[in-house]
Amino acid sequence: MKITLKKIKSSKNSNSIWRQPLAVVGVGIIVIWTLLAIFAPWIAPYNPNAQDAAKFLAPSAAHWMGTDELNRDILSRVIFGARISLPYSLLLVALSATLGSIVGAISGYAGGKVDSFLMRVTDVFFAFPGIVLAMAVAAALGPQIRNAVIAITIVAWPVYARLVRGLILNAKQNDYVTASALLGSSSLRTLIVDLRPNLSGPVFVLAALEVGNALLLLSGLSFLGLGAQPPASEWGSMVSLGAENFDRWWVGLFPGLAILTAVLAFNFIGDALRDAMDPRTAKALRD
Amino acid sequence: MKTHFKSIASVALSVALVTTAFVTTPASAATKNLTIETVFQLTPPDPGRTFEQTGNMINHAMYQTLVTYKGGDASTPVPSIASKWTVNAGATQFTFTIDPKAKFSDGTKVTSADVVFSLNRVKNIKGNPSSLMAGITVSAPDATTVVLTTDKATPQVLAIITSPSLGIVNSKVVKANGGSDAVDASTSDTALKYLTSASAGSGPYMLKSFNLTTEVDLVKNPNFWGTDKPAYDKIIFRNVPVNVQRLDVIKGSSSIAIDLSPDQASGVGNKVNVIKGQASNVFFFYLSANSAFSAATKFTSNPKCVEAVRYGINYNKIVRYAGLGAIQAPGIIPSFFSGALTQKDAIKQDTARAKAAFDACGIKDTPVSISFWGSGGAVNGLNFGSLAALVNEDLNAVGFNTSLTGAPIAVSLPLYRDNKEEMGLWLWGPDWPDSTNYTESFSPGTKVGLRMGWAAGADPTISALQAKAATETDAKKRAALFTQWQKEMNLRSPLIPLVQPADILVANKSVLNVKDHPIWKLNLTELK
Repeated sequence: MKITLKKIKSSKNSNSIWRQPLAVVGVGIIVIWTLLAIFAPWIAPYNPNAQDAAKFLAPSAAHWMGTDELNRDILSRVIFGARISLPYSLLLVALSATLGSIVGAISGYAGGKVDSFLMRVTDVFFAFPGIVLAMAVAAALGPQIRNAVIAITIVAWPVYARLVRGLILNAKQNDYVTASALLGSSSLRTLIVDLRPNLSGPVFVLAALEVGNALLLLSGLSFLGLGAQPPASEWGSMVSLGAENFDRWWVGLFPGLAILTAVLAFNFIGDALRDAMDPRTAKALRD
Repeated sequence: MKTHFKSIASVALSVALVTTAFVTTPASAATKNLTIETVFQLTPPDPGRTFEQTGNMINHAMYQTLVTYKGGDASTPVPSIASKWTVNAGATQFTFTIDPKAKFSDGTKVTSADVVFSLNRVKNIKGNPSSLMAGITVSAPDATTVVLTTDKATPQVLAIITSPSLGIVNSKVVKANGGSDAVDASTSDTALKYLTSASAGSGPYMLKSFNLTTEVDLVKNPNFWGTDKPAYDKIIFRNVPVNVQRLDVIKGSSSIAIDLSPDQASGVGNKVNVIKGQASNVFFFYLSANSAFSAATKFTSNPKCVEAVRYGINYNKIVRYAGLGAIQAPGIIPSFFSGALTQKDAIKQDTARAKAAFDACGIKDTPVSISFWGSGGAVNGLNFGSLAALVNEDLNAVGFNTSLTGAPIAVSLPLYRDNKEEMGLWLWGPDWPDSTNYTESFSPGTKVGLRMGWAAGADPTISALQAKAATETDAKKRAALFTQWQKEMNLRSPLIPLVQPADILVANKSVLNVKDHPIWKLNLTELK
């Protein structure tokens, strides 16, 4: 009996994300960014908005990443930028996953006209290119980081709705759902108690894969002036300032690298989580 | 046989292609095009409705005015449609004789009726430029004479009528396409659609195509009557961000970049010419004097709050950001106009005074927003977001609880024009090259005065100086009045002038005679 248990544990652990080097790298990068974000006031060498240095100083011992057009230390701004980019990306993924899951669950469970209506609404959102729709919504609401999060949430929820609807349609054919209904469970109870456990894994995996995209979209809107407002040290808006000053390579390069590392790390983690929690999809992708 | 046929066919095809290339090359080489890149500040090119920089530049090439300026000068009018003119002693009557050679692009002669129609149309369609015609009556005693009359001395009329908004249109063509100069023209005139698809002027260039957001194409007027014939067959305007303008002009895919800052123009290399001047634009900051608008404006309308901002701003830092050639704006009138203040008169940062005024103002932690043209809005290479960040930092140091609310120009401009901002960061470029443009636009109850919530009667001293300056004909006395008006403005108005940037044009070396102008920025008619 003991031997059998050990075998089962071993089988489960074979998919652990800790066995995947890229996942470890991803987690390591995110841990570093998280620590930098939390302890930014103590780690950053200067106030990120202080305009005390000289204009466009190249990287040096005093300013490791140089200074920008407003005499601000870019290293400090990159470090403080993690306080905007990371939490807002996670927030908007949580919001879109929640909204999409609710719509998908109602659609899949109710079926019939409700399902048709909600899926046609979803189709409308899918019909627009994501970034264009996000730009339109952000421009209509007014350029602010909060409105950029709302805009991207509006763009991002349909993919969760489709996923959850499919899972519900599949799961509600099972005998235990029928049994639950026969025992008098309400629809809400059936959804939350009986069906939700089957949904959380795939939704979590999708959400993990989407964090990187969310960060890119958020940075993209700020790059276009539709997200964070000055003087916020948001990475996308910092890259935008760099684009206006190509000759001063350091102005755009370092915030760009920050976006690159964070997005890569989230993608590594997302891939690993998919392998660990949704082996069927992972196998299908590998094959 | 099949292979043989293939060989013959491929040789024939090659010969055809080479022949085509040779035949078409001379034609394309003979076409002389000019590509200009700028960030569009543009409305449809109806002169009566256009008041923006890019629009002025384009309209100046298509529509001639009665008089104009040469090169970069903005002080000595020279003949254009009018070959000569006289001004009476009281500066109330201006009589112009139309050049008998003047003709429109369709070959018809320019008459006094065209001038009367054009100027009355501008007045009556009540577009933004209609203010140019305020107090001016136009009449035509005969086919070649035009008389402009004012009810009080208005020495600036000659400067005003150089505005491209007062360009002369072909009245027959415009009337045939819905144009009207009647009193009800604001509702009855429907010529905008036509004037967006074609031009009806006498300038050296004509409108070929117009797209508000991407590209405007002009072609040369084959019937141009003037001595300086158009040098280019086609002029292409492209709406392009500043950083791309820089790349394009360096690699030669555009001929002129309009909007580079001194920093961006440094290091462009020696394949292009950098033409440096002083911009006529003045960036300014204001606090709404409309106490009824919001909780914040209850305080921003308090003179102590204005004082806190005026002395809290680090002007040197703003000038450093604006780059080489920029100067602090000591007043709203730019350095090269009559009565401009000197750098000695400029406000200096005084943090202690600013903090004392802040305490006296009582705004404390009340949140107040600074509005500006966001989403990368930039003029003369200066990014409004960066300027707002500079001011914001200084105001926070004084104690203000400010937030920045930039928005695309389509959103932010109406808010500014409708007096819906608590604090604003904007710029002013002259509508006509005379200091009266400023006294008539920034005093209480005037155009920008009202945008700042500064109603008529709010400051009788400043209004009295405005009225005196408008009718004074002696040049020295006028200059003194403009100086005094600005000093009073710096004491009590909600307006805080910030910076007068450098003006940079970067042009391919093949383009000659590139000169910066305060009204139309770049004189297309003189480019060689």
